[in-house]
Amino acid sequence: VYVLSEEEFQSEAAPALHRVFAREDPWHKPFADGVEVRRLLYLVHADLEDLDYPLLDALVSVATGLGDAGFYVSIIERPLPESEWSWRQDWHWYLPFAEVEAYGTLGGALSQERTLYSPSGRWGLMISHEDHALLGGEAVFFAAMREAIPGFDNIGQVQLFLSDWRYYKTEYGADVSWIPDLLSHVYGAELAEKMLEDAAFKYLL
Amino acid sequence: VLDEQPLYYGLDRAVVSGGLTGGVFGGAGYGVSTVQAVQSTARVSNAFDDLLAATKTSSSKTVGEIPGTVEDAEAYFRHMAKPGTIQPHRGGIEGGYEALGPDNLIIGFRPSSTSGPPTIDLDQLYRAGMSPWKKIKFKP
Repeated sequence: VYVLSEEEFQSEAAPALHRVFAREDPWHKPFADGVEVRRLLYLVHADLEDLDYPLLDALVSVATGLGDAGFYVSIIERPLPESEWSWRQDWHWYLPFAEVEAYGTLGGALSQERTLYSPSGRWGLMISHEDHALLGGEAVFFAAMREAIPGFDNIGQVQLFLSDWRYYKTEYGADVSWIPDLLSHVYGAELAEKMLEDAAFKYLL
Repeated sequence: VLDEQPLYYGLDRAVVSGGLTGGVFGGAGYGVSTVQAVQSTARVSNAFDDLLAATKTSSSKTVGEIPGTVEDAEAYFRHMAKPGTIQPHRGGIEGGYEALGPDNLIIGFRPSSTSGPPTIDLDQLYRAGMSPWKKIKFKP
């Protein structure tokens, strides 16, 4: 495992990140143009545990098959240049697959919104504060992931996502206006529309 | 240093308990400002336990929910934070803080969240098995 400075991130890792994600924002259309397959996963916790399936293991296995030897982790919520932060100054890491267990030791980093991504830019996973994740990559990557974990990206989890956000809207008054655009960005306008209808979500907008 | 004037360090537990739970649950009726004004030498150490006891599971099993305001949320956060460890939130979240909480694990406070309400983040405590919730939202 090694830490990348912000300068090293910009020169070494960011080009790979930007092949999958045009912006580091899990709420507003993050995928780069041309990303072949996009999915919303829910609930995905920071440590990638508590899932019904071994997501991290599958990522490692599939990415290895694609020729990757490790992956980058970047914290999205990096401090403003003028801010002071004395505990830890690390925001980017490279984790070789041989040391993948180190992911769980990143400590406070796992409390932050973050992105895991391939050095080859063939896949990327962005995880939000509210436990939704956006996974994008090449079709061959998704085919292998579905082989490793059948049904891992089924759209049933989108209904759970919408159900929770309906609760946040009705109970907390949360802004949900960003959801249609995000779903359309991930699944296309037609399927997104159907998801919103099926979840009886449109009346909230 | 952001916590040179901590809100609840050193407050009498009974007063704080009445202030926090009274404020949150409408019981004793101590407001936050009342609690802030009270001083004591006794260090309150179990705000975390109080918070967990008062929290209910929301729509998501890893998200807790408690009635309360942003002031209540910040009060709990500062009460749980170890003195001298409160820092601005790493993400530059305005009004947000992080600190070392129970067992020197990081806790966070966000005055608002994407889902709306003020939130205390307990990811590390959740992973350590010390909290059944990753985050606790304060429902207005």
